[in-house]
Amino acid sequence: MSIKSTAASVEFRNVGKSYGQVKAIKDVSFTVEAGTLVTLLGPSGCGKTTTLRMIAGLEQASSGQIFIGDQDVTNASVMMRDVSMVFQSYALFPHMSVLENVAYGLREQGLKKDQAYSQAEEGMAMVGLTGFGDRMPNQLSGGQQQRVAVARALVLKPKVLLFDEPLSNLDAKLRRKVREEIRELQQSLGLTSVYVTHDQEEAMAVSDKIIVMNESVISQHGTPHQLYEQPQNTFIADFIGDATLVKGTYISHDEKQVKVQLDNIEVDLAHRNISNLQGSLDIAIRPNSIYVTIEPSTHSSGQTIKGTVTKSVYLGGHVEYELETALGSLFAVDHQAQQAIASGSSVYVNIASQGIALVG
Amino acid sequence: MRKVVLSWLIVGIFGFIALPWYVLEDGLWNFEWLFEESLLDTDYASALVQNFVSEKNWLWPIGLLLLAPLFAFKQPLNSPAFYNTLIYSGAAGLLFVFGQGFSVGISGWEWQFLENWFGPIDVSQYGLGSGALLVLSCFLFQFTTGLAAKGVMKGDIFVVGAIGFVIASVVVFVFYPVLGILISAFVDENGALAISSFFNRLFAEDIWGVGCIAGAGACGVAINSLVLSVSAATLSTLFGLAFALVAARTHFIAKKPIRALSMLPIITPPFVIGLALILLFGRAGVVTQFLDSTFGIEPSRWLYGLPGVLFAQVLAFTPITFMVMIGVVDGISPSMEEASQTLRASRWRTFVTVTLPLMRPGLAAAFLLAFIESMADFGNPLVLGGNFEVISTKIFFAIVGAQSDQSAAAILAIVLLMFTLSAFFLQRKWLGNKSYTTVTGKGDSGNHSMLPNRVKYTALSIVLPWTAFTIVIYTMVMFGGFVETWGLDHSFTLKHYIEAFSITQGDHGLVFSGAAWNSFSTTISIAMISAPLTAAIGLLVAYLLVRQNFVGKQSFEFGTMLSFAIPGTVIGVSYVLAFNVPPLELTGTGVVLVLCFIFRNMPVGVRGGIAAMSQLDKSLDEASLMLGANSFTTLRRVILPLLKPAIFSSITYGFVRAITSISAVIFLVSADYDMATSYIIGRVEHGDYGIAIAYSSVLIVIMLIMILLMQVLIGTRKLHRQEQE
Repeated sequence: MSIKSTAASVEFRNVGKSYGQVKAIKDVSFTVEAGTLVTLLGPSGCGKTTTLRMIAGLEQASSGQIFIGDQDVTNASVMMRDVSMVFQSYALFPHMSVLENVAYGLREQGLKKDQAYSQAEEGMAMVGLTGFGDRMPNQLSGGQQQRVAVARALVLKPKVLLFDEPLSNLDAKLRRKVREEIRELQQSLGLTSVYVTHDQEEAMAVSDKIIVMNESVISQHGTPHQLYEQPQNTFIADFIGDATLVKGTYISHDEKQVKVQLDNIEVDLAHRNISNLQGSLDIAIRPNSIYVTIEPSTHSSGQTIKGTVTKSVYLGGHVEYELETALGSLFAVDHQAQQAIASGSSVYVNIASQGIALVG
Repeated sequence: MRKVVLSWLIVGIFGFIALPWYVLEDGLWNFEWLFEESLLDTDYASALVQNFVSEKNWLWPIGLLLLAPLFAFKQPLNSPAFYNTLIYSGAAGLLFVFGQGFSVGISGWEWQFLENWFGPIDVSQYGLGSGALLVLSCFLFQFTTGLAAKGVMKGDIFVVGAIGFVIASVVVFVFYPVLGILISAFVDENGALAISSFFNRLFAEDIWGVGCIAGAGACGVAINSLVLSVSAATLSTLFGLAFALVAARTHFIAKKPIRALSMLPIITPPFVIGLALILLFGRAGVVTQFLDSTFGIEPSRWLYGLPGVLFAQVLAFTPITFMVMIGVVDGISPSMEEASQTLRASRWRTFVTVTLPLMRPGLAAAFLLAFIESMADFGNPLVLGGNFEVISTKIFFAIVGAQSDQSAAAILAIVLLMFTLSAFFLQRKWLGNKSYTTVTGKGDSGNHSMLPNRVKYTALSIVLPWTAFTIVIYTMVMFGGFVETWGLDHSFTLKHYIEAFSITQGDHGLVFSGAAWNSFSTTISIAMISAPLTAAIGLLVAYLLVRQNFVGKQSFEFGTMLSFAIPGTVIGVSYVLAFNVPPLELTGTGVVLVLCFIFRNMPVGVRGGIAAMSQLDKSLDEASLMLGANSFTTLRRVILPLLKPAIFSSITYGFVRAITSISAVIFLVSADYDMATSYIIGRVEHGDYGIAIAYSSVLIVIMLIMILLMQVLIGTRKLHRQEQE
């Protein structure tokens, strides 16, 4: 079954969407290259689902233009777009068998019954559901239902395949497995996919690129690595890296590095072409680059400040701390700890410099 | 899209050149015009032929407008040339067809100024017929298709067409007649405008007089109606509350039968309760006779008047208020009451400070519903009213009485409308959209608190006698038909049934010679035709309201719900006034009865549809759309199959209402199309109780069977699903 040939790019040009007075999307522009998987990530209410539904044609843009391939689809109806979608609820038709569900779209395209059914069976084989055709959706497990939804969308050979939080109805263990399957399928078929989630780990795991949205606008757009290493604003630093934000004082800079004062220590941070370098700067400190010890540390890199543990949570694989320091409150995760340091202890806090980033 | 345009074009042109343009004497299904050589006859000719044979040259433009879409046919679909042609030709066509219909009537020009402009004509035309119907549909759907091409509703032809269709039919069959009645109140017998006399008559003594309070003379009908409705609504709300509390908040054994009893008034023709009361408490009633012979209490006519009507109405409406109240009582989150009790409130305090206040919207809704029902009730006041006149009966006598005063009826109808519409507005304002919200079940686990004892025993002391009495009444109705003459001769007989439903062996096979067969078969066939149509339009409206967003949706909803607040008598009168004359000449046909039922019962179908559709996840529709199905296919293949139970119950309701309804029907029946209820009322007016009771019980049994059948159908479906799980 060849699906690859149909994959097309998606482009938003200054798209806005408002419901009456409320603006759900403000002036959003981005491009999804053909054959890549791009995730729309953000907290609930940020506009990511609205954006996805505008690609689908289930919502109409109030302003701007939407392209699929080189075709302007801004005002095209759902049916004219050659886009398929896997719904959060899967939206399997409860009164049709699995085979009828998968064949539904093919039949609507005008295929004969036996032709539609044989293609539907190919689609089911692709997601590993051979032999399940006669079951009703409510006889399947959540994971199987999800695969039916994927098969139903795939058999139409869509230009773009959309996923609306496809894992949110699965339990935590299954989620990891299914997201890998989705990614594998997408890569092997070369599909253009747009994927919506609010889970940043899930986004990191499946995406070629991530578009982080916040309050109706794109907050930052880039590869998972870029978002993690080079947060352009405090929201991204917090949302992607769980980082603690502190203020540092600018000391000096050259072409590569910026020297910043953090309490009693000085750190050199990557420059990254940030303008307006002066005075107080936003600094992100990642939780897993902070080492907490009772004795003064002998850690090689980084420098040490003093602090107190205000909260300590033992989670088996790792320990989470909340620390009170001269920099303010810090959040730290210790993956090596054998035993949690008790709340109230005075500790030495060592910050590895690769875990510190300038925000901007 | 071009295909749609072309199909409607063909439909329109077929209507224009092939079908009779005017309504035929013998109704829509008369095909005489096909067989006789009458295609050129003025009565039967199509619009095209009318242009030649009867000089009706004002029909020419219709043909031109029909063809207009052809000129833009080659234009791209989204070009202004294409969609504007459709929009403007469609709109112009609609306006023109109705315009000419209203301008030229049976005796030439309808309006003086037109005669002044164009000179007199001596051609007459009758109501629009089947040809015109097709032409009008063509114009309407060309118009909506044009709007869809312009991008309205994301270019969805089906949705725009459906909205256009619903608006057009509500305008023609709800707004137009009601507006007609308002206008006819402003004109005198000669058709001249008479504002001052309108106000004189609107505030006349026989409507608003309060003589009875002062002790001198009778009160006006409006005062009578108001007193009756407020008392009936108050009492039935209290009783309904008592029932709901017993059914939902006690461990009383007979809870289920009580819920079942609440179904009874749905299948009971509205005057049957009144009839049963006569059999019990009338001058020849069982109880009256018993009191007379045992205690020497003189038989009196106390039942005939306010007490009797009120009695019958409270009996009839309590189950209705119960249905509202049970929803509210069940809907109160148990955690509220549990919270109150953990805060050390006693059961009584909890009931007074938490439960009762939370029920307030329900009480208001139940009260207003009962108020509207009581205002609109026609059967009971007619049967039991005696000298006590209310608005609805007075309207009836103004139309069918000796002087047949249409404008007096119109004035009374306005007064009645004022009352019911105010109640309707109040109810909507009070409840907003709350009536649709259902309990989600999230975080609502827990137990309702039991009733405090004093409330429980008060409620039971209402419920138990009432239940016993209801059982007596229905037994009465069932057996009353088997008695020679009620009150005088209680010997068993089948003569009423034989008189009504006898079948004799005639020369050419069986002859349905019983007196009731005619109205019975009309009733059943009209009910069978109107019930699916009612369900269809109700579900269509519900689909548009739940699943689509469009400008003016609120007014759209209001328009479709409005007929709920229009009393049947008003609908009846307004249909008579509006559809007695061209361009829509329907009075005396079966069509007008069907239309009346569809638009009277539509609001309930809409509500049922909304409730059912709100429970279907919207992503099912969206998934279907994304898989390439259009919205019509989605409705047909996904939504409707999942809504089967709602469709069944909607059809049942439409069927049952068509059989039991009386107030509007009584104006619309004719010799050819008599309905069961109006036939029965006729018999009651002649004191012919035996056959009336016999006929009523047959109807009740038929409807009961119908409902049970539906229950079984729906029930097995549910079983089916569980098996699959």
